[in-house]
Amino acid sequence: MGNQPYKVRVGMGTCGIAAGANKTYEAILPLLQEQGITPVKTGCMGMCYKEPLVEVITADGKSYLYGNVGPKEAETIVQEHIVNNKPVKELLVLADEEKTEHAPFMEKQHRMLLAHLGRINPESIESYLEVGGYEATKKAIGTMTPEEVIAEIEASGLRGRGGAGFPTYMKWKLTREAEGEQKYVVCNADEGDPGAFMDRSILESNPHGVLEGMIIAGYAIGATEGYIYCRAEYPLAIRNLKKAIADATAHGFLGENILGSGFNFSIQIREGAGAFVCGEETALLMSIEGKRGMPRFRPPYPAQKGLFGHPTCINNVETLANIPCIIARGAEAYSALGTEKSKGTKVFALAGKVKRGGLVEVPMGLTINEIVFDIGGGISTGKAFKAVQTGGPSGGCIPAALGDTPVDYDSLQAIGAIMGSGGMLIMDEETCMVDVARFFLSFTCEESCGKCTFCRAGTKKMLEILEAITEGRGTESDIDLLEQLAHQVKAGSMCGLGQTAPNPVLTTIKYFRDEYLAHVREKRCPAKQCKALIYYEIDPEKCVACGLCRRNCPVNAISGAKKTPHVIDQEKCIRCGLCVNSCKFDSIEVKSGKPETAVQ
Amino acid sequence: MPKVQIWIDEKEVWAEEGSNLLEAALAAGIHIPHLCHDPRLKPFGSCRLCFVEIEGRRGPVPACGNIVQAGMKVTTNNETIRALRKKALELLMTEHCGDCVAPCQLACPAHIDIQGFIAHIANGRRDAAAALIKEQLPFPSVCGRVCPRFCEAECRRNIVDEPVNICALKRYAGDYDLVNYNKYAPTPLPPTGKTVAVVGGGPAGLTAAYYLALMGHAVTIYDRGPELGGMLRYGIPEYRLPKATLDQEIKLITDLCAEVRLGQVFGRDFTLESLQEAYDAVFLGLGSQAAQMLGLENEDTPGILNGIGFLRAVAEGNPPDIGRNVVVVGGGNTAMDAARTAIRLGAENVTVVYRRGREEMPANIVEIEEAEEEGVKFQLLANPTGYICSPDHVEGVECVRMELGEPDASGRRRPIAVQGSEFTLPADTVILAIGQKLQAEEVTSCGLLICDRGNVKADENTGVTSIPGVFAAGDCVTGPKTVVEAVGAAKRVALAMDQYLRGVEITPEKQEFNCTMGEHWQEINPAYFADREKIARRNEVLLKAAERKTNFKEFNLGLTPEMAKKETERCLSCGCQDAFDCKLRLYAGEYEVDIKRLGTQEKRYEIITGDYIVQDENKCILCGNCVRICQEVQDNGVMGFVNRGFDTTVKPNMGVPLAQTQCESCGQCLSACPTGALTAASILAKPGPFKDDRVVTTTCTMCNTGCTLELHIAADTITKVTSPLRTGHNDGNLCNLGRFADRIVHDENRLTKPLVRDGATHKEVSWEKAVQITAGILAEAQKYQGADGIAVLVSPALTNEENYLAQKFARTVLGTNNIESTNPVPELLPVKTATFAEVEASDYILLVGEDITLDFPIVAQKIRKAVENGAQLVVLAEEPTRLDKFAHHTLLVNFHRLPEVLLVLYAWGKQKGLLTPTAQLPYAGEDLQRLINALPNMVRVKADKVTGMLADFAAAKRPVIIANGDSLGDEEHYLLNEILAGTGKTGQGSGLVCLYRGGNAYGQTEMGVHPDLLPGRLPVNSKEAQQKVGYLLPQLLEKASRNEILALVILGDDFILSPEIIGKDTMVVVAASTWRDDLALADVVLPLATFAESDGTVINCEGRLLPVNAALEPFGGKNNLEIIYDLAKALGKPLSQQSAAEILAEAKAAGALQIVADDLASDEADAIA
Repeated sequence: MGNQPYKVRVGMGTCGIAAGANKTYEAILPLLQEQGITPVKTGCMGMCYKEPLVEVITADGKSYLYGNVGPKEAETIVQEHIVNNKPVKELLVLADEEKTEHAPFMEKQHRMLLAHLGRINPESIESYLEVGGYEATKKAIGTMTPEEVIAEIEASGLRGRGGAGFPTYMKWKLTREAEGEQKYVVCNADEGDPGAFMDRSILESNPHGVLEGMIIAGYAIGATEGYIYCRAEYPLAIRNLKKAIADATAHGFLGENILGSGFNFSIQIREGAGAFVCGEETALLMSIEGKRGMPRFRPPYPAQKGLFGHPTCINNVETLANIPCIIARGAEAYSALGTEKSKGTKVFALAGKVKRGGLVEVPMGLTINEIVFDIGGGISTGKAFKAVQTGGPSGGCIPAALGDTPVDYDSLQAIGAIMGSGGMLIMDEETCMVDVARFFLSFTCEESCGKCTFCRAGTKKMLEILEAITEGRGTESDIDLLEQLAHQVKAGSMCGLGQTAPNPVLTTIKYFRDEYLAHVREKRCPAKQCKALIYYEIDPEKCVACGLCRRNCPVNAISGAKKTPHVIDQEKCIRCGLCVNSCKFDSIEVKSGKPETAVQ
Repeated sequence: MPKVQIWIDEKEVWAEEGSNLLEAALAAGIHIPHLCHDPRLKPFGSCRLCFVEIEGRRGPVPACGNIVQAGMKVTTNNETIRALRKKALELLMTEHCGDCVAPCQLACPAHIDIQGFIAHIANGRRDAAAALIKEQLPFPSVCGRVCPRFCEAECRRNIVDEPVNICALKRYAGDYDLVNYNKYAPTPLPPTGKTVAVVGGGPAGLTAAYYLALMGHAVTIYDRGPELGGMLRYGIPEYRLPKATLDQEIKLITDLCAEVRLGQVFGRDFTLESLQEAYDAVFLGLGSQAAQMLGLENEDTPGILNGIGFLRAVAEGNPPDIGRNVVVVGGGNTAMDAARTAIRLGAENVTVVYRRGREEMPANIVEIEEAEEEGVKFQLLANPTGYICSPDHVEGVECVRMELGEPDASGRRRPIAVQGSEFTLPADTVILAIGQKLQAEEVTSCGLLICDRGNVKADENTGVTSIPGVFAAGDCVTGPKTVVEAVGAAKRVALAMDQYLRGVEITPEKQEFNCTMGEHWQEINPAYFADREKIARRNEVLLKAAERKTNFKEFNLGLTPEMAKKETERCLSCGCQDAFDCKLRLYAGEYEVDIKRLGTQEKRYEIITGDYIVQDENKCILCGNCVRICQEVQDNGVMGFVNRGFDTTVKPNMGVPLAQTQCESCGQCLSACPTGALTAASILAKPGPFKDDRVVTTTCTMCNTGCTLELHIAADTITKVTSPLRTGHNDGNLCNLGRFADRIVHDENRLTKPLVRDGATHKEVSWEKAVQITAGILAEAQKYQGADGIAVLVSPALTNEENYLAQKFARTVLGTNNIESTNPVPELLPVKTATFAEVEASDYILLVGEDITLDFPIVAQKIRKAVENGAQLVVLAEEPTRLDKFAHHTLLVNFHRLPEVLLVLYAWGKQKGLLTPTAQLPYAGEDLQRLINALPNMVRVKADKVTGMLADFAAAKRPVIIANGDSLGDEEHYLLNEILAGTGKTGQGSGLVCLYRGGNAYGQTEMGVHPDLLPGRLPVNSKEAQQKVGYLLPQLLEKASRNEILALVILGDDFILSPEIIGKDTMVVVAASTWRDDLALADVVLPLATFAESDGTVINCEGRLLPVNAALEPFGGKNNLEIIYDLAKALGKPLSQQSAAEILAEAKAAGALQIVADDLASDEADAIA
């Protein structure tokens, strides 16, 4: 069994499983067992675009990461690399020894929170302890006073990663100073932005890191109970958290008299039913209390009167995951990273039309262009980079022209966007910005809790206007009304959901007004996305009358005899685009505006 | 709480630090709009209307979510805030679906409250219906005959089958009032000293005169004719509008005027200048009197008449000789009137020539049809081109056929002559009825400006003309229109003239905001009305054509009462029940909301009508008040939010109707609802809504919580019951009994006439007779058994004054001390009563007796509030109660052992040195110790807990004991009093609250309704009084069953008769408000007045003297004091007649009202006393 020195890890995060990692694992397990190797299941490694991922580590610690590994590829890897000791170059994504084309994905990142992701087994506390887990807890509880812990967090400059960027130490301090016997730490794991999966990946892949953050927070503010409010749509995260809580309790990091210090702290999980608004802290508290998730007035702030009326500190998953890093390394080392006002790193979920989508962690202050092009590898479609949406439905659309903006709290806010919790959606020139605004608004409109007038009825009205514009029924005054409504919904809404819901609309109007005008004035969608404002036409020069499009058309809108160029009946056409996809001669063009026949 | 200084809109305001900013502003008289705020509820912040700016805070913030802090500077009204509020209201309107007022009312040019007057008719109040109509239109009888019915064209019933016959109902109400009733004649406001000349006695002039006179101005009407009425008299034939009817309605108007000057021709007998000199203002209602002619040759030939001239001559009794063949030219109502008049004058061939088709005829279809029935022929699409004349008379008309071409400016298709289609019609008389116009020369000469169309130039809303102080309305401004349009315009102008006369700026009446489901019924989805039953329309009774064409008698006989009643049932009551109270509507008007900007919602939900509550979710704006008041105040939580985002809605639990939930029908939700989403189900045939005639503030006597009620009265009916917010000891909260008190007052079995037994049944008799019989019964009993053989029972629901007078009657008239409560309570005076404020501020509450949450929910609210404020609550009950979850301890005790338990608690307290007894204990030594040992078992808790509980009680600073008095006996009362006294804390902040279902339980004893106690609790057998005591209720009943009481007089509704308690020879006289089956046992039944028909006072559980004010006349015609006075008189021992206030003063002088704490003798009650 000369192959024993090899270690093999299989990425089994939700992203990996979705890409087929279960089958890969099933295939590779017996093969490796034959070789005397037990593969380790790890969480997300960040390169979601290459899942399923399999990592082979040699005896001298060299890493070879393989991507898109299906059962067949797994067999090849075992046979070639492990049995024959020859790395499979064509499947290689990253390797310590040589620079692959994917290497830049990692080079510009600074992996601190994500350092253990994909490296440890999230189901094993031993695996976490091996990499220095719970040292920060020991240091904080064993050697520091709560005040010192808070001072350390203050010195680190850590700001809330939930999006608004409120200084973390301040929340802790206020909660510590609030009057009350009973206090709570709540971990906000209700990650709800469409396309965002930072918190999920951290919880799935490194649950102990978050628990440590909560334990230290509990110690610092004087709480004895903690709640993790996690959406029920994250079953793997919940499973791993449950296991982690049990293991941590068994190891004495949770429960009574932690590490002999006299400090008691326990953690419970509350599963949310997937209401976006429950990410808002007061609505989240209502939900934990068993009530309908609706925001309530602040003040009193949760730090004064929170869960069940007691002082409560609510931090986001990523914020809490930062805590052990700060305590372990010291505030000074931590604050060396990032910009003057935004310290540390930020995790982003890179998605949309980018070549290398996945989970990335970068020091604060990196520019958008660096993230999109250097890490993300540019636009996947080969078209031009048009815009990036940060902060999900609460965030703003940043045009490519502002690609040099550094990604930190204040710079993003200055251009009308927000950091948000870390969703980053890349759009190319074929994206209609009106449609993007409509998409995000349809989300917030549906997710409004229904309590306050502006959020409930205002977003609905805005959505109706956007729908009218994308369907060619809009007028120029609609844009003004939309803008006015957007400002008033921002000013008039009760909680963050309504206050930020108009951001995608306002930023798209601000940076892409021309596109709105094209929709209302010329009834034309420049990006050729809005169905009511585009049409398809067959170029008679190019058409070879093969009949493929005619057969594919679901509404029989295409006609044409043999050997004569085919024609689309614009009246019948439902703009499904099947003909374009079916044509092998690129003879069908998408045009924006109204078909000329109709114009006549 | 200390008061701090803040500034709101630069006004200095002193408010409690930490109090709600919105409440502080409202208290300072600064109104900030709000929908989701209710002082009874915690701030919620959903409506987003109460935005203010606070110096130092970023952007506008809701006032309801902020607290007062010293030095705060608040702005409540600037452009940003107003814009935000307006947008919030517009957004709320996008989800609000309903009609504020009914479309018929909006369509009526006079804006008559049609839904309201139909409801009055349905509810049997035709007089009120006439009065309501006359608020907008002074002649319902006239208009009910001649109106073209704009309202019916918009009636939503068109969607179901046919419109409601509104016009006929209007006439029905008007005729009834005119003929059968009191001819509604409102009292004008006090004279203003201003004078007005009204020129023209037609519809416009009469309307202006009516409303100006009602506003206190001295009106003189000038008219050229020999009689008033204008076109009503001279343009509309007798068979359509009898002069007698017209005269009656005109008389009601002229009775209000200073002077009527007839035969006065403008320009001849007076000029505008002369009027301006003599009067403070002038109204011109000149009409359109000049007939238009065709302008053909020989038009002045005899036999060629104009329509109105012809009609006038007939009306004046000088009908011209018209011959056999009559041609009427024109297609309007005047043409029809002329043709039908010609028929009645005996013409054989009457032909109407009209240049367009039948569809285009401006006359009402009914008129055309009726003319046809009477034999009028029509030459449609024909036009006169010339006259055939003999030298001295017309002989025929030359006509040409027409066809319709392209539409002209009026939208109607233009008639074009067809070449070569000429024909002639023989005619002895030709009547031209092709339009009228103003006789413009009259007015141009006096400097009035005339507009393009030849009418007087005047503002359509204010009537302001080119000359200051001169106003105009009606046909002279608009050209020939309908009566109702002239009335509507003249009423608006009268209001403007009033402003002018009072010297204030003339501003047109602000249109109230109206949300609508669709401007026209054609726009509405018929599915909304699919569930409505089709009911055939009742049309007026008409004489047959043959019967009517020979004479000028009125042929339309209107509706019979049965038909009218049936027709009212067809009304869909489209207008919102909350129209007069809706805050959303109020603000939408104030902020000039335009519903067209953002649109409105389609109807989405079924309207659910429950026994007490009507839920119309379509009008819900999701303020959450209902959800929260049910949860926070009632602790019931029947309703909740369902769904998310725009689809959010409020539904009862599990989405079932309220009736299937644990809903208690307290109606708190509808009291908190700012819109018409939740309204009270009405007991009336038609619910209105009605504007309040008056609101009477009184006290509920259905238990001794003594809640303040506001009875809203319209047409002598309680239409709604509310309780004032922010004032009053019940904080605006009511239970089912108070909220729906109208159901008790207006019970269908209310007695209105005295009844006397007649064999097995009762027969109605006069009061005189009933009193005489009653006196006979009493005298007889006295004769055989002496004063002991008579007993008087009085209900604790009656007032102090009624109770006092009843005991005075028993003692001085009947000479007996057998005066007892129908529901006696211990006479013990509490060592100190506690006020509700003291309950809320208490730190320890001991609650004893049956669950109070259902019978005394308002007090239960106080207890929950106290617990929220930090009080400890201990419940001593037989079964678990709904307050247990708020209690620190609940001790379950068998009630028959309650005295024992209380006694032992008391003894235990003494033994442990926790209580200082002020009384001797019946147990001592071993007996006591044995009981003490048994106590933990009795209350099922451990001994140390009992000690702890008592220790806490003894240590409490402000202990309060609350007892459900009806479930406790004398002994318990005594012990509770002693336990409280034992704490030594009987000063401010602590006390005993005894709850009774008898609303004046405390007052009865005070007033001496007690066989042993005189008023002021003076013992009957005391040295001073030296009288023989009477029988207590149990003895009394026993005596009655044994025929030893021969006459039993019962005043009140709460004593149920049964054969067992009434001896064979016992005669029973019951004064009851409502018939019930056991009254069959009574010999005489007298109609009792309810609290809503009585003046006086009651004493509530706090020991507060509260006013009871009559809102209605007694249903039986006599109030309860009068009944007693009458009986005394009939017995030959009259009592001096005193008012309620005098009676209370007498009782007070006798030492009554001991229980009333000095500070709780309320101002209103003092005012009475």
